[in-house]
Amino acid sequence: MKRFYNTLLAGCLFLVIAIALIVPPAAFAGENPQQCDIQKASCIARTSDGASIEFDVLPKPVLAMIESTFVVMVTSNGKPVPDAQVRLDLSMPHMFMGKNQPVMKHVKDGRYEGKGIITRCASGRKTWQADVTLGSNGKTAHASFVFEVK
Amino acid sequence: METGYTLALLTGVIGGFGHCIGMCGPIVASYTLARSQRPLLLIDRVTPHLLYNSGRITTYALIGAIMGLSGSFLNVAGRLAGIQNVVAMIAGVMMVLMGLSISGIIGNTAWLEVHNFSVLRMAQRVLKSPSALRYYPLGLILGLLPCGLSYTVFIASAGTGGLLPGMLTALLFGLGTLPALILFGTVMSLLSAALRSRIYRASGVLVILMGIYYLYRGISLYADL
Repeated sequence: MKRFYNTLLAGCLFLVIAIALIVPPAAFAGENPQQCDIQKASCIARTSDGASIEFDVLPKPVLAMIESTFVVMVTSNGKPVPDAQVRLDLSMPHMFMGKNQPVMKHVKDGRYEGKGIITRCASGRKTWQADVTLGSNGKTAHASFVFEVK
Repeated sequence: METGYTLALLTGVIGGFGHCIGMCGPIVASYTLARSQRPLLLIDRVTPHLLYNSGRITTYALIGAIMGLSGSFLNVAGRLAGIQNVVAMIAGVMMVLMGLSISGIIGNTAWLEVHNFSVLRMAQRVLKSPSALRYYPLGLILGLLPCGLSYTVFIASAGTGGLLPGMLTALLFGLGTLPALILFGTVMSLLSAALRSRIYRASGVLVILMGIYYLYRGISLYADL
């Protein structure tokens, strides 16, 4: 019986460690995120093909557990891009928080908006990450922004 | 199965290992260590975890149903916030008391009965009751602990716009978290059994530290309101 317990214990520990290695918390965060102070202003990233992705959260201050408006402005060579497919993923860089994807809709002149809620993590952490994925004319672009909520 | 339900289940499975063990592991560890003084069969080790998690999932399903029925996450979450923070603090107090008892710092816990505080009496029941059934109501209460991951699922429950789909979404999420927490709890009980004579008193200090952490979390969440 003791042998059975030891084998079971070793198997369980192996499984837990294997899963922890296969699914590290960082796997839920995007690549090369850009730090920005969302409490003061919007965040801007530029893609390699000249597109500009501007991300903002309203109202200010940006708080957890209230309904917020997420804004993504897309321009290419200074001109608005009104026909992109915009996907926004909200996550915490070091804590799996489940799928949180506000639906983004084009409002006008390359401005996309969606409503959503940034949830509160009981650990006290307040760092969030927004991953913006653009699809336009068969091309895909991606930008990540890391920001703090209050 | 609809995409939303599959996603809820997967969120539970992934979150169980990536989130719940970190956030709820201390609670599971505390009641596991508190009861592991004598040798137990495997079924005796697993049953409390099944009961505790059944209680926790029942609470999730009820909250999911209310979210779905109201169609609003924020309205319901706002009303629950105060209760959840109090539950976090109660959990912290209970864990500190368990730890004090396990480590022998306060000797026996009979003095708790002298004071007519409901929280202390509840802690006493958890510490001393011979029945494994006490873990179900414990899970029911601690299912109310504030949790960011479950909030995300409750947003989805509210988005379903119905009592049954809201409840099913939260229920599947809860079921998804089962493997990780039962595995963690069972491993903890096996570890503590193997080393119980040497680490039992030391584990009390660990439980006290966990309790202080939970108490801090509850108070800091309260301060955020």
